[in-house]
Parts: sequence; C-alpha cells; structure tokens
Amino acid sequence: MKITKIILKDFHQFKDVEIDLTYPKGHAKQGEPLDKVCIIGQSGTGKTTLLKIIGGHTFTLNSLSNEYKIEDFKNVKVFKKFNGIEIGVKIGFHTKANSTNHHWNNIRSGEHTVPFAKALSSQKDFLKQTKTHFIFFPADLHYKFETSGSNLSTKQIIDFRVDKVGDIWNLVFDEIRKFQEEEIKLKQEIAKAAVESNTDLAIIQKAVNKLERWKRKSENPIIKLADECLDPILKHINLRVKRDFKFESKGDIGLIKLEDLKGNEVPYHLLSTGTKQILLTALPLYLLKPEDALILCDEPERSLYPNFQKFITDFYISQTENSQFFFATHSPIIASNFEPWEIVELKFNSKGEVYQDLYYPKDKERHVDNYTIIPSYLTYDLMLNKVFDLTETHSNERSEKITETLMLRNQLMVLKEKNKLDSVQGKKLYERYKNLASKLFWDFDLS
Amino acid sequence: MRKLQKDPILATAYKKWLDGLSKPGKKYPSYSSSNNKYYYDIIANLLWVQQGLCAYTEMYLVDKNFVAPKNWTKGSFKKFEFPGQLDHFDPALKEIKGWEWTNFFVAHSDVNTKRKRDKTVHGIIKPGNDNYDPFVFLEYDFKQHHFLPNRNKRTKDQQFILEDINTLGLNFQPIIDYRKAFLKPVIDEVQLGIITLDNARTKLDKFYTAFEMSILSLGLSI
Repeated sequence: MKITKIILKDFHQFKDVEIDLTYPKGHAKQGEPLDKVCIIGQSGTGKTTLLKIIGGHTFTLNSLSNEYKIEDFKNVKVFKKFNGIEIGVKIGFHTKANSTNHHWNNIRSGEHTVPFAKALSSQKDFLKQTKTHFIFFPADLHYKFETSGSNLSTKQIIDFRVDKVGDIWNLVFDEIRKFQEEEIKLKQEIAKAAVESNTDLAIIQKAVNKLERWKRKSENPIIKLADECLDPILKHINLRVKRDFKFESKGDIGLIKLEDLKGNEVPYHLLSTGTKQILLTALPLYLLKPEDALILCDEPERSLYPNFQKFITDFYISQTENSQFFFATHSPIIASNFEPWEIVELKFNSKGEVYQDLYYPKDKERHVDNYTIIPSYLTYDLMLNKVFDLTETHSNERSEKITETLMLRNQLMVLKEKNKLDSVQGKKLYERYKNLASKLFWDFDLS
Repeated sequence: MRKLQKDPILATAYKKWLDGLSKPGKKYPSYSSSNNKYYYDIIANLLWVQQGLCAYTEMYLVDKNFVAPKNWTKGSFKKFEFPGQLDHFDPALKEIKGWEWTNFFVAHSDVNTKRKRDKTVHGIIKPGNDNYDPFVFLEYDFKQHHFLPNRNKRTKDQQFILEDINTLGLNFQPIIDYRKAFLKPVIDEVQLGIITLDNARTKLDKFYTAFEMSILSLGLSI
C-alpha cells in the first residue's frame, strides 16, 4: 500500500495544503506513488504530525485519536493506493458504535469509479498477501533492550512507539540459539564417540562427518545476518558481528555480539548511541523483510555521523521490497539522497501558516524538467542555502578572512609590478598571504 | 557602494526644522525614531537619493518611483512600510546630533542588524563624502565577488577601508551570495556576446558598482 496524496485544510498550522506524492510528468513512473519521500521543514511545521497523520489514516488510527481531537481531522484526507485502486480516506466518528473509524470516498481505478464492496474485498486480499503492513520508527526510539514477549513476525502493524524493539531481536535469537545448540550437540557427540570408541577411529570419523554434513546443510544465521545486513554498515565504524563462539558460558548462546576489527568483543552497553540506533532500526527491516509495506521513519539521522547519513536511507530501502518510505529529517545529507519531487518541504508563511515549498515555478506544471532545485546537483553548502534556507552558510570570520587574503594578494601583485617581491616586505607579505590562504584551504577563486 | 549626492532635499519640512535647531538658544532634541514627525520624510528622501537601494550594499529595497518627488506633499511623505533600517553612519553622533542629515543612510535590515549595528567606522568610504569615489577607494574581485580596498591606496588606508567594507556589510556572506547569483549570469551573457553591455546595464536594478567594476576588470568596458 502506498500513499498518493494528502490534503490538509484547517488542521492546526496547515490552512490549505495539498501534497502530491506521485511521480511527476516526464518521469518513467509518472502518476505512480513515490517509493520514498523526505519530509523537511523548520521545527514546528508539522513533519512528525504528517507522519502520524499518514499512520492514523491507514493503520494506527487509535494512536492518532489518542493524541488529537477527531473533529480536527474533518478537512484532512489521505489517499492510499493498492492493487491499482486509489481511495481517499477520512477519519470520522461513528456515533452508534461510539468509535472512530476510516471513511472511504473517491474510490477509483484509473478513470473508473470502484464500488466500495469491491475495494474492501480487494484491500482484504492485498493485506492477506502481505506479512507486515506498516512499521513506524519514532524519533525517540528506545535504546533500552526491552522485550514484551510479543511475536512481531506475525504482527502486521508494528509501531515502535508502543512495540518493543527487543521483540524483533527475539526472532533471530531463537534461530541462533537453535543453531548453536545443534552445533554443541554434534560436537558433544564427537567427544562422546572419542571417549566410548576406544581407539576405533571410524566411529569418531562418523561423528565428525555428521557435524560436517550438518554444517554444509545448515546456514549459520549469525553469518547470514552479518553478511547480508550488519557488517556492510558496521565496517564504517570499525565493528563487525562476532562470528566465532567458544561457548564458554551460557551467555555465548543465542546472542548477537559485536567486536572490533582486532576481535575484541564490545558489550551492548558500551556501543555508541549511533551504533545502537543502526542495530535497532536495521534489524527489524532485515528480519521482517517487509513487502508492499508503509514504513515511516522520524529523524533517521539521529545520533549518526554524516558518513552514515549519506547511505542510511538507501540501506533501509535495500532491506525491503516494493515498500513506500517516509523519512522526516533535519539533515541536508539525508535530503541530498532524494529527487526534488520526493522532497516535501514544509514552510511557514508570514501569517504563521504552513505551506509546501514546491521546487518548480508556480506558473509551470509539475514536470521533471521544470524543477529548479535538484539536490543531487548541489554541494552541502548549497543544500543548506537553497533547500534548508540557511542564508549564512559560513561565518563572518571566513568572509572577512577571504577578503583579507585577496587584499594581500593585490598587494603582492603591486610589489611584483615593482619587482619588489624579493624585498623583506614582500617576503613577509607573502608569508602572511600563504598562511591565511592555507587556513582557508585555498577554497577561493583568484582573479 | 555608490557615491551618493544627498540632494535634493525633498523633506523640506524636516530641513527647516533641522536648520532651526542651530539657532541660538535652541536645544538639540535626542534621537528617537518613533517620536519624530519627520522620520518617514527622512526615510523617503534617503530612499530617493539612494535610488531605492541600500546605501552600502546596493541591495534592492524599494521601487524608487514610489518615493519620487511627485509623491510628496508640501515637503512631507506619508507613513509607509519599508524593508530597511535608518542608520547613523557615525554612531557617536546619534547621542549628540542624532538628526543630522549627512549622517543618515537607509541600510538593508540584515546588514544593519548583523554587521553595522553601532560599530564605529573610519569613514574613508562614506557614500555621501564629496571625495568618495568607489573606483578610487575600492576594487571588486569578480571571481570571489568580494569588494576589496583599492590596491593603490596606502597600506594603512587599505586596512581602514577593509575594516569599513566589513562593517558596512559589503562582504556580508548572504549579500555576496545574492550579488554573485544576480551578477554572474548577466556578466556571462556579456562575455559570451549574447547581450550588449548597454543591454546588460538596462537589466540591472541593483549592484551597479560591482557590475561596472567587474566589466572593467574583464576588459569589457567601452
């Protein structure tokens, strides 16, 4: 299921906003829902609110109604699409049932209207085919390793505001424990054969062969997890998943452990906040392998160094299949991974109302060729300036020092014309110039 | 930063009041922007002589025609919203002679609040000075889009000019970015011969000095 449009009228700071979440004209996927969306905007413009609205109009209605007054949503509509059917969803209050629920309208398939019953049946079929429908990673994701005993592999709607990330780990722990217990059992069989066989090597060899056969047949879940998910990202922080266990204690069974590149184990409580963030968000996606799911991620950059931010969204996406991602972020590095039509920039106007800043002229149509801001063409300075509207992208000191450097160069040019560069004054001036220029990393043009 | 002729005085009511202050026995009133009936006359008059631009950075502020003489009534101008701030060029005069015409300029708000504020200036490059000529006191680096002290000035003067360039916000980074974004395509079109120099000049509504200095440096001036 994917979201195609959101209409917000008279909802808190949103007075009249219509957000098109489809590929624009001129794109190979024109009209289809976007695969990934990046929501940016100043604090208070409603990025997280937008995520909650998307969740509430699809799968987490109760969370939404607990936080907001339902009557506030009377002019809010979210359009979702599955199996070629597009539906406008509003939230309403059912007086008889005394409950809030979703109201469907504008049910269409292309140009044609679709009867409600047919759409309902189609949605049931669609949801039956998908294992995980929805995942929400809030910005204040808990770093504590808590479990509730819930089996998240059978849960279709996972909201980590309430669900425990630890429950996801249990999925892989069980698998690892079983694998390791079997390995211990087979190794014990070899030891037993060695004790009981006297000097009959054939009996020992038979037990060894059994272990080898099992190893060839069985996939070590830790190695699989390391190769397919964690090690490719952990290598950026000089960590990796520990693959060899000596089973010296009970604690060696059933856990994922990390080690540095010298093989020193790093306990979970000593991992950096950023590393925990990676583990907590990457594993659910790897283990659940969502298909056709709606995945919301608030502040994916949290605690992550810029080099991680560069690839984290693509990494998340790579762990899923045909899912739609919504990322709400303050990071220009994350935003630089998106096409302009994938960015929803929320801004305040002079009246304090929120509007969407479109990256194409108002008098032109939403066509790929009309976008004037292309994040992938910009330096991070320009991203901050043109996308994040930061007018001062460097300090006054830097501007002043550039001016001073250029002025010194002018003075050197005057001395050159007078053949006085070799003078004491010339040498002193050149030293000052070179020193200042190198502190500016020579990052200025010379006329 | 262009040389400004602070004539004509359109704010004749203010001028008469100001002249009256120098008469014997008259007490010079303290400066208060909100407490003077000539405040908007002063602003409108300055914007006219500044041709609608910030006196220092040449950023566009208002359409100069809005404050043209035809829109004045008996030496006064109506109250109006304007996107700039009234600056006392020499802040020391604000306390003692806060209403002096020669010390007033309208500056871009960001420049005034973030750079100029109440900083003291050396005053060598004051836009209203009789001897001020941007081509004599300044240079423009058309690649970096920075104003520089003219290299032919004495080293000590260059240092003073440099400090005033910074104080007056001529090289305030957002202004540099804006100036660069505005001038670069125009200069490029002139260099490529897509438009003539005269046509380029008609396209300008700000940054005249930087443009002319760039053209001169590039050897494109006629």
